[in-house]
Amino acid sequence: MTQENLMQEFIEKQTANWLEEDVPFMQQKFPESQSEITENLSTAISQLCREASQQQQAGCKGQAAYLCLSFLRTKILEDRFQYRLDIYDEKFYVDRSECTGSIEIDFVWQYFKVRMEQLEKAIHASIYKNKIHTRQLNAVKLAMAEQYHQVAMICTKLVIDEAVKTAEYRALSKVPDFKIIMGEYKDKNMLLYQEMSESKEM
Amino acid sequence: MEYFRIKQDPECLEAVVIPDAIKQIDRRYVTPKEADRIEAVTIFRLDGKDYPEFIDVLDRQLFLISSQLKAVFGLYVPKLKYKMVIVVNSEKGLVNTYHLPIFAEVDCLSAQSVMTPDKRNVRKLVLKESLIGRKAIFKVQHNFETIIIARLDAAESILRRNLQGIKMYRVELD
Repeated sequence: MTQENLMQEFIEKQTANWLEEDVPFMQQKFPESQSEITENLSTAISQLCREASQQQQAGCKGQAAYLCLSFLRTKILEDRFQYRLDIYDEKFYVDRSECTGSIEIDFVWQYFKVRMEQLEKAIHASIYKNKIHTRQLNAVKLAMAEQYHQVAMICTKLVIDEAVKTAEYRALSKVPDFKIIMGEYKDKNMLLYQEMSESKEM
Repeated sequence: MEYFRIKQDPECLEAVVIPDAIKQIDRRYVTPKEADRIEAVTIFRLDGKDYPEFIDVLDRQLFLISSQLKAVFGLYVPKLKYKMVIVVNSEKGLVNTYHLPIFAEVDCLSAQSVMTPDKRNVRKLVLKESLIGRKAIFKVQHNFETIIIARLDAAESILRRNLQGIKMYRVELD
């Protein structure tokens, strides 16, 4: 077996049970942190809605149709665990008037940060100390971050109904079936929340 | 909007090395106007590494991309033209195809960029956002250096595909 394979095996061993071990902790902590997560999200949404309303008043944005929360690999590689928020009108991705913000979902990502630190320490203490490259570490980081992102999506979905109950959100001019989605930037997304159109409510 | 410079990862020590690439393809011809002077297919002989790594971006002399990365570029710049490059080491039986994209240059280098004293290389890259327009992947006009930039959506798309040997550097905007 070559050294490369051994190193691969070492990393796989180190990263194997991250989520299995972390998720029970998160589940345990979730009830007490729920209000904090909700407030964090609702502050970010309100701020963005305010900006979108201003753009609408200035006439450069139509009725809001989508609010997207995007997971960015470029930010993960810079060790900034932030999601990008965007509000688009009905033109969706071709809506040129940019209305964007960012949010940190620390409730989930704090565990990931600790795990990455531990991994680096473990590598430092192992025989692979001088053999491993940042490049390999980055590949591991991206692969694992994707898993934590799934958990972050679930957490956000759990609190989104409460988080949109703000004056700014209500004041924003929206299409009847306004959607909040989360996932990849301008790619695959998961539906978190949808405004009911009036006809459906009736 | 956020932009990133695409470069070959300097950590890929085993990457393919093409000796004297610019002897066969003159860099001055890598523009839409002069591209006819470049052969449709060029064959390069490889340097003598036993197991070179065929990574997806090579930017040592010419900016070359693999077929997988070309497919991603095609999503964002469908009209982009390429010249094919084949790298061969017949002794060791190694063959691979790369593509040389022929970008039209965008004059968007900001005066705030920092150059090396001889003005040939850019030490700190700053771009003027207003001059970029709606381009997702483009080349910055510069006489000596090949500077390829990807917009956030294109950069994310590239990273998502788990390609090898690509490094993204965030670009400052003015």
